Amino acid sequence: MIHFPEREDVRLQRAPLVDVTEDREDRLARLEIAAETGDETAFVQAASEIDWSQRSAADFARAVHLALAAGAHLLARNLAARGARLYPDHQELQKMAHILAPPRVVKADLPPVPSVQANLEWMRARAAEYCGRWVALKEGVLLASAPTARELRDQLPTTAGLFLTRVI
Amino acid sequence: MVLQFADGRAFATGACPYRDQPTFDRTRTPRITIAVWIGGFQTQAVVDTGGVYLVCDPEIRDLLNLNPSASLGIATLVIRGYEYRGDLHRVGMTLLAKQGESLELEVTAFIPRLDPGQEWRFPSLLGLQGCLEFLRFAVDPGTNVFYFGPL
Repeated sequence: MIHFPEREDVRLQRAPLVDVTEDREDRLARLEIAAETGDETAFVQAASEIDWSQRSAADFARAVHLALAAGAHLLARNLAARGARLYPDHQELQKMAHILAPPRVVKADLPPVPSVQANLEWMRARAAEYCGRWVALKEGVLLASAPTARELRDQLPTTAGLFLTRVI
Repeated sequence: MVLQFADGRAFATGACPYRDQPTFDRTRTPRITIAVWIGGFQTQAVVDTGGVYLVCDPEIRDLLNLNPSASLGIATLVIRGYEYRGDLHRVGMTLLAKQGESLELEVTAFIPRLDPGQEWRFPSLLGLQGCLEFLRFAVDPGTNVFYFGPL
């Protein structure tokens, strides 16, 4: 188990004037250690002790990457969103916030797709014969199969509208 | 409207059949596998409420026209005890209804980059955070129907 020194402990060992820059780095270093060890709980705890209102755009971006490495996906989303709000001109934070944003409904009134049933029935009846291969179906009819998706794509004039999957 | 609350409001607006297919390495437990539309084609994915993001089969990269510069860069995801590195993208995905209305979403997708010798042992996965969260969904195991709708 990794022991992180308490902030007050660190202060007591220093000269009376606290080096603020170094302290800021210590806090981010704790995030890095937690990320390297994949300790999501320690990462979230360390992040909660940081005053993010005083952090730079670069610190936010670095923290988002570290959160993703630590498996703290919700925190990564929240940090990206907060950083993007604080730094609206920072392109990387804007991209992070966009990619990690909660899912969004684009259209809710699209027509049904009847071929779903036909493709499913083919999978139920025939998939076992193609285990490990990629298959292409159209309206429940097998068009092609191949060992890889790339080879499957190369066999077909187009993949648009087809059902493509690896059979597991 | 496919399912509704007592006051008539829609709970689910679309329904699709699912396959309860054993999918994970070393397990034979059936999983709910539904058809989805990603990047201009249909494929199948397993509902994985314990997971995050839309996790794509790594080879789907060869079927999608993704802009590498639109990726978040390398992220790490542990899936059923196996660690994978990959890219995070924002992609369009449609839940395909056989009955009612299909539902188009914008979700976070994780596309693994396999190291040399590394194997991919899973189907594509529909995780909760970043993918299915903020949707209503329900399952009828009697008829193998998956119901879904927007909040």
